[in-house]
Parts: sequence; C-alpha cells; structure tokens
Amino acid sequence: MKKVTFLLAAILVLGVSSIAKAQNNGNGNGNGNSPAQEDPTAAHALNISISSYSMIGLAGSNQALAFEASAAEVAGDKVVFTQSSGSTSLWLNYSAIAEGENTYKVTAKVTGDAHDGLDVKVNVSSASTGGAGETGTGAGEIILTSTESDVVTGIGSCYTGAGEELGHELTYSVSANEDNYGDIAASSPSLIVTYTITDEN
Amino acid sequence: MKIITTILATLLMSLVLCQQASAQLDEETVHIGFSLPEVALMDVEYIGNGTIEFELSPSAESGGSPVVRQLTSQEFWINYSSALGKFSPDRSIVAQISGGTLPEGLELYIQATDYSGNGEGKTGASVGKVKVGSDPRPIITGIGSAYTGNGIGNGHQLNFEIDISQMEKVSASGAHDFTIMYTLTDN
Repeated sequence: MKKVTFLLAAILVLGVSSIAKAQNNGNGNGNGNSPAQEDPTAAHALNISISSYSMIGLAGSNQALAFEASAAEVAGDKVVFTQSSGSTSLWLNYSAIAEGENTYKVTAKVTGDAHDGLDVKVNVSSASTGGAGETGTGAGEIILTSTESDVVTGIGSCYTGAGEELGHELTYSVSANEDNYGDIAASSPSLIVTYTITDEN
Repeated sequence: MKIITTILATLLMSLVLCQQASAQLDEETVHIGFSLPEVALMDVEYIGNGTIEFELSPSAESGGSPVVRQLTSQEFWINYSSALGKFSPDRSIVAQISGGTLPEGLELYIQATDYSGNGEGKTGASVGKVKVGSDPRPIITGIGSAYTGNGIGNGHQLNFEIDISQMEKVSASGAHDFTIMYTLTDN
C-alpha cells in the first residue's frame, strides 16, 4: 500500500511540474513566468500610407481618326464631313486619389495645322459602369480649340476601369462653322488632341 | 529535467511519509492536495519591427484600381497558454483596432491560420477572414486547456489584408498609425 501511495504521490508531483512547464512554453517575452498567470492581451502596430495621384489614358483600337469632306450633292448645300477611318468611339480612362475635398478635372486642346472655318467637336459621355468612386461629369459636346477646355469635371478618388467601354466615351465630329464658312480652304490639316488631368481647385 | 524532478519528488514524499509512518503507526494514508489556478496568457510573436505597413499605390494602367501593397514581409504568430476550470466555457481570442482609426474607405481583415506548433491540448480554431474594427471581433475560438508553444511557428499565424470598400471616401491623407489589440477572453 505504501509503495502504491509513493508512486501516486510522485506521479501527482510530476503532473504539476508538467503543467507549469506548459504554461511557460506558450508565451513569449517571459510571460509564462508570471505567478499571476493572467496576461490575456497583446498588441502590435499597423501603418497605412495614402498619397495622391492622378493618371489618364485613352482606349480605342485605332486612335488615328480621319474625316473627309463630301462634295455637296446638290448645288447650294454646305460641305459635310464624315469619318473615313479610325475608331468611331474612343474611351477616356482615369484613376485618381484626391486629398480631402479636392477634385481633379480633365481638359482637352488641339494643336497642329490651321483648320479655319471648321469646328472639331468631341462629345464626352457620362462615366460608364465598371469603375468605382467619385468619377467626374462629362461635358457633353464641346468644340475643341487651342486653349484648354474642361471635358470632365469633379473627379474625386476613383477609377473608371481600363479599356474600351469603360470611362467616358469620346465621339468626334467635324463640321463647317457657319459664321466663318468663308475661311474654309481645300486642305488636309492634321491635328492632335491632348487630354490632361489636373487639379480642379 | 524530468528525471531530476522525479527523484526530488520521490525523496520529498518519502521523507514526509517516513515521518508520518514513524509517528503514527496505525495510519497508512497520505493526503496530497495541489491547486492549479486558471491560466490565461497570450502574446504576439513576430519577425521584424512589429509594425505592418501598407501603401496604396497607383495601378499599372490608367483607369485601374489602386493597388494595396504590404511593404514589409513579416510573420506574426499568436502564442497562448490556457488552463480552464472544470466548468469554464472555452475561450476566444478577439482582435480590435485601438489607438487610432482606419482611414475612411478602407477595411482591415485579419485571418488567423489553424493551429500548428509544438503545443498540446485543446487549441483553438480559426474563424477565417474577419473584418476588424474598433469593436472586438473573435478571430480564434474554442480554446480549452492548452498551450501553443512559444515563438514563431507556434500557435496561429496572422495574415492581414486591406480592402477598398468605398473608393470615393479614400483620401490622400498621408500616414495612418494605429494599433491592433488582441485579447484572450472567456467567452
């Protein structure tokens, strides 16, 4: 009976020793040695950095557009331009992160050869679905000139999606300016339209 | 260590029992009592400086969504030791944001892995991907009496993810510092 009791006592003491060891193993920074055995919290830091940026691009399979003037079929009619090559629609894509309540806008201008008596127009649609955030407002149809014109305004933190059918659809047209019809000359002017995203405020 | 402990324990108990046997010849019983208090210890172990850093970067192409990049590759592990009373319910580990706020338009998710390591007992189970805010949310549940082992590679590894929930509310607001706090709790 005494031997059995000794063994039982030894086993019990060993059992306590093992449990104490287990408590020590499970904790970093020496917590396992705490006699209180109560330290149920821990923490670490996390940092997120957000900087402003804006970027813009055009999508379209053929971005070299050509328009041709058709000779009037009936004497007395005005000249009419039709698109002869290039994509009939281009798509304005952009991404931006704004600071606070600040916003961005997109402007456009044309450079290149003189085209007196002709209006180069672009119709800027509202933003398509497929993006997210505070996309801007399309200006509708405007006449492009050599000075910057606002084509999209009120752009906050957003992205339109990248590619065709995403962002703002751009549809171009060329027409005679009736107030300056007399300035139209038989020629082949070549123009470049430049879009820029910039701070609006 | 175990051998020494065994010898010491046996000698100790032998001395006590011999004294009792000589003093009380008609008694042969020994009463042994010990108490094991409830234990609730937890720690976060990591490699690195202990700060997780994220950055919102522009996408590769115009029109694309921002890219959330984790700047530092670090490992974070939760270690714990838990001893429960006989009728005590299992424990959980909850996480919450304290000492700062998450930037508007962003969400923080934490996912603990299932237990691995050198521990024993009834270790907890991962809840999966959990959205963490200022209120405590369980990330590990079902912790009974167990220990995970100490250090990297023991316990539950923590993975962090920042998602953009409301793009229009994301603002270029510089650096945001805050603290993630974990608590081993009794329910």
